[in-house]
Formats: sequence, C-alpha cells, structure tokens
Amino acid sequence: MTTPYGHGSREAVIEARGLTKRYGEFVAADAVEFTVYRGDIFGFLGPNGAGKSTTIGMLLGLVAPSDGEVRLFGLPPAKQREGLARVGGIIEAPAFYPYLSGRDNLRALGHLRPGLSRERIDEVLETVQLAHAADRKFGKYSMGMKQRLGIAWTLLHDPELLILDEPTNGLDPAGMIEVRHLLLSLAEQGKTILISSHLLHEIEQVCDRLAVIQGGKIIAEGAIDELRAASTQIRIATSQPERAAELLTELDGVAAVRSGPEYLEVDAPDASSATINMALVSAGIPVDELRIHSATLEDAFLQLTANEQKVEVAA
Amino acid sequence: MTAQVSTLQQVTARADNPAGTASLAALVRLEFQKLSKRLMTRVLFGMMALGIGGLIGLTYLIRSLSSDLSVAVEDYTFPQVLTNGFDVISFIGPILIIILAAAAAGSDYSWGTVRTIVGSGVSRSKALLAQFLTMAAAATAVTLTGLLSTIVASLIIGALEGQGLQTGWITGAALGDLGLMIVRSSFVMIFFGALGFVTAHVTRSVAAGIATGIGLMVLGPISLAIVGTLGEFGERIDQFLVTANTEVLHGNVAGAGAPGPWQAAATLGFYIATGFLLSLVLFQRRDISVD
Repeated sequence: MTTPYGHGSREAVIEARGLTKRYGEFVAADAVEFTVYRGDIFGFLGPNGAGKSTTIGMLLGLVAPSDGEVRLFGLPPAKQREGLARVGGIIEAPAFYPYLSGRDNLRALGHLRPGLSRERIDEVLETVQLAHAADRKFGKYSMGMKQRLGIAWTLLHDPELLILDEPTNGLDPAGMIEVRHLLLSLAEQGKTILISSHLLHEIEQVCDRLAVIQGGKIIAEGAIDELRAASTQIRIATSQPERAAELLTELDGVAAVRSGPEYLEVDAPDASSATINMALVSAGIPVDELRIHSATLEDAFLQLTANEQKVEVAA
Repeated sequence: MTAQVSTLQQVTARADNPAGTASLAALVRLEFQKLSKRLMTRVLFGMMALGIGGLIGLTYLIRSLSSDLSVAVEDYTFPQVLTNGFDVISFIGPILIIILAAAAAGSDYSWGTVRTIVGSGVSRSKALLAQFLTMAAAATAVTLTGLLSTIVASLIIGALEGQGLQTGWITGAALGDLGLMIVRSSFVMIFFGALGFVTAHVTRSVAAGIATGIGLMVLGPISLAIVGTLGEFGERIDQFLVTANTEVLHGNVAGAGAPGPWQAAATLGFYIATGFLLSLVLFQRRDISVD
C-alpha cells in the first residue's frame, strides 16, 4: 500500500481503503487504495478496462464494494449518501432524458438537489457554454454537448468535490482545452476534483496528483512530478553490457536494469548517476556514455504498466 | 469557457450549498415532470380519451341506424353510460397503464439515468417509492381520463338526441356508487401498473414489463377457466387468481364462490405490496451497472 505523505493537516476528501469488487471469479477492483485531499486535482489513470469506472461507481454509491470502504469527507461508509450530497459526479457517458431539453433535464433532475433556483440552472448552462442549445432536446445533442451538460449537472449545486469520469470524451480539441481551463478555474476556487481518464496528456496537463490503476490494482499513487522522477532512467553505453548489468543489479538504489539495443536502461534516481559511474569504472567496465533520461508521464505510465509493480512516491 | 471564469466564480459563490438530500416530495415532483413531459404519456392518455369516447360514439352511430334507438339512448345517457364507460375503461386502461409503468421504470435503466439519480446520493428506497407513487397517481388519472371522456361523449350524444343535461339521477347514493366505481377501477389499474413497474424494475427491461403485464391480462381468463375445471380444488385456488379478483372489483362477478370485494382488494393489495417489496429489496442491493 502506498502511504501518501507530505500533506500535513490537509483534509482527506476521498479515502478508498481496500476497495474490492468481485463479479464471480472476476475481480474488477482489487484492494484499491488511494486518498484525495482537499484542493487536489487528482487524476485516476488507467487503460480501458482497468477498473476505473467500477472504482468510481463505488465512490458514487452505485456499486457496492465486495470488500473495503469509501470515506467521503471523512464520513463513515454508513453516511456515504450524506457525503454524496456534497459531490457532483458523472460516470461513463452523461445520462439524461433524451426527450427533455438540456434545461428541462437540469430542472427535472434539479429536484435531487434541494434549494436550487431556476437562475442557477441558467447560470451553469452559461458556464459550460450550452445556453444557446439549452432548449434543444438532449437526444439531439452531439457528444460534446452531452459532456457539457454532464459538467453543468455536476456544478449545479456548487459541490465541494467533483468526480468526473472521462469528462473530455467526444470533445474536439478546442472543447478539451475549454474543459481543462474550466477545471483549473474550479480548482482555483478550492474545489477538489477527481478526473478519471485513459488520456495521459489530459491528466498531465490538469492534475497535480494521480493514481494509476491496472488490472483492478493501484500500481502507483502520488504527485505527478514525483512519479516522473521515480521513472527517470539512467542510460549507459558500454562495451561490456553483461558485466555492467550484473554489477548494477546488486547496487543500492537501482530498481531494475534492462538491456536496450544501444544502452543499458537503469531504473534509478538521477542523483545516483555518479555512484553508478564510479562503481562501473572501479570494476574496470568502460563507460562510453552515461546520461539521464527524464521521464514523461507517458514513460512513467508505460514503465509502470509494463512492470505491474507498485511504486511508492512522495506526494 | 475560458472567458467564463469570472462568471463562474460569481455564480458558484451565489449558489445555495445544500447539505441534505432530496425529500420524497421532491422526488415525486421529478417523476411527475419526467412523466408529464414524455410524448408517450400524452399519446397514451390521448388514446384513453379518444378510445373510450370513440368507442361510445361508434356504438351509438351503429345502433342509431337501427330501429332500436330508444333503448340505445338510455345506454348513452346518465347514469347507465357510466357503467358502460367503466366496462371499456377496465379493458383499455390496464393495457395503457402497463405500458406507461413499464416504460417509467425500465427507461431509467436503458437511458442510464438511474446512475444520475442514485449517484446524487438520494435514498434508493425514496426514489423507488416516488416512482411507484407517481405510477399509482397516473393509474388513477388514466381512470379519470376515461371517465371524463365517457361523460363528454354522453353529453354530445345527449345533445344530438335533443336531451338536456340529465341531473335527476344525481343523488347521494348515486355519487357514492360513482366514487366507489372510480376507486375500484383505479385500484385494478394500480395493480396492473404495479405489475409492469415491478417486472420492468426486476428485469431492467421495458419490454419485459409490458410483455408480462399484457401476458397476464391475456392468460388470466384462460387460467381461470382451466382452474374452474378442477372441481373443489379449483374453487379453493381461483380465489387467489388475479382475474377472479379484478373481475370482482370491476363488478362483473359476484355471488357464491366469488371472493367478496374486500377480499379481492386485499388479495390484489397483497400482490402489489409483495411486488413492491421485491423491487425495493433488489433495488437496494443492486449494483447500478457501469457499462
């Protein structure tokens, strides 16, 4: 289990603890653990079918965990519904009544959110730039418009926490940028946001922390910068790669050594490059080239999903 | 949206920040809004109104061309027309309410809107109860629509026959009987609505709800006939068959061997309650599928 640290007294807004969902023999979510703190823009990253939607279903009270628990705003699981009243969430494709207009959908479903005014509905439609199509039937909306209405729905009662499952699905590049700006502006106002996505660049550009899920298991959690740093590689060109690999495998701080076509790829913090160099030279292994390869989130993700090994990083 | 940031900051600051979840009354309002704005609802209510008025008008037209017109006029004016109207309502109404109830319950699954509702933190039992209460209200409204259509058709026929508004039949007892017929007819309608509703909820399918409801309407009389051939054993169990009890409440069956009205209402009420509890238990425990 990862233990995020460095958060001081920040309030945990979502705590997933050992969340497991089994469908017969199939385990859709396997002891999922992560924490989202107040003010986070938290990315929930994983390939399609990794267990993201099942986990979000458990967060939103749609799916009962086979094991484990969810705490929203520190409330015990028995009070999950109370917590959900402070959450705006969409899961999978936004679901509304196709025969009602966007505005009428928000009016009807607005009954689920006590104390809303008609003006508020118009305001959120304006916010997501859907006012011009507010009286068009939802069934006639494009995918992008449906996503916008979904976001409008989540904002309707001014929630403290937004849980958005693939919020940019179906949006064109301009729409994706708009949503990104909207999310950033919401975060500036103190909203906590969890975004699930399989799009690395989307998470990288918006989020400050993330959890990576694969095969129903969380394989990494922490700050994006730290995750990238943890995936930094030291690439070494040498005429004696086998000897070098044997030596480096035994070295402290080296997580893994792989033979590439031109380089030995060493998973180790960039600060250990001098130590590695010294060790090789001391053993009489010539070092033709040694360079630090700074990882992108994509590198980190590919490395994580290839290893299927949990990485603990500072948050 | 970039340009909207300042607007957004203003609106979020002004919005209410409710901590509670929706009340039962709010959920009923949601269900009513869903139902009343749906084209299917309007079509079904239109069919009820036009169907009953049309049937009464058509039979009047056919009989008015015969030499038996004086008898026919009595059938189309108060109070006899009300009894005839309820006969037609008992035939058309259940079909319409089965379709309406199954669609109301099953569509939330097919459209995925059940995710939106449950994911808002609303109590599942309240959400289901609100849907059921709205269905029951719609079933009553279907009965009243049929009755209204009967009254309008009768007034038109009365006017064509040169008869003024007949009020002599309006007595306390007659109004009491009319009220009782409305209650009985609505109750049977609620039963069939509940059947479509429960089946659609359990199977998450509109089609299954409609098929089961209409299937029972068709098979009910056949089962009753078959059970009738089973002698004493058949007499014991036909008291529990749906058709035997709905026919009693429609006033079509009475006397020795038939269940009394209260027994019929209790039996159907038991079926309604059992079905509702079944869907409630399932809905409480069910994972809302994430496709």
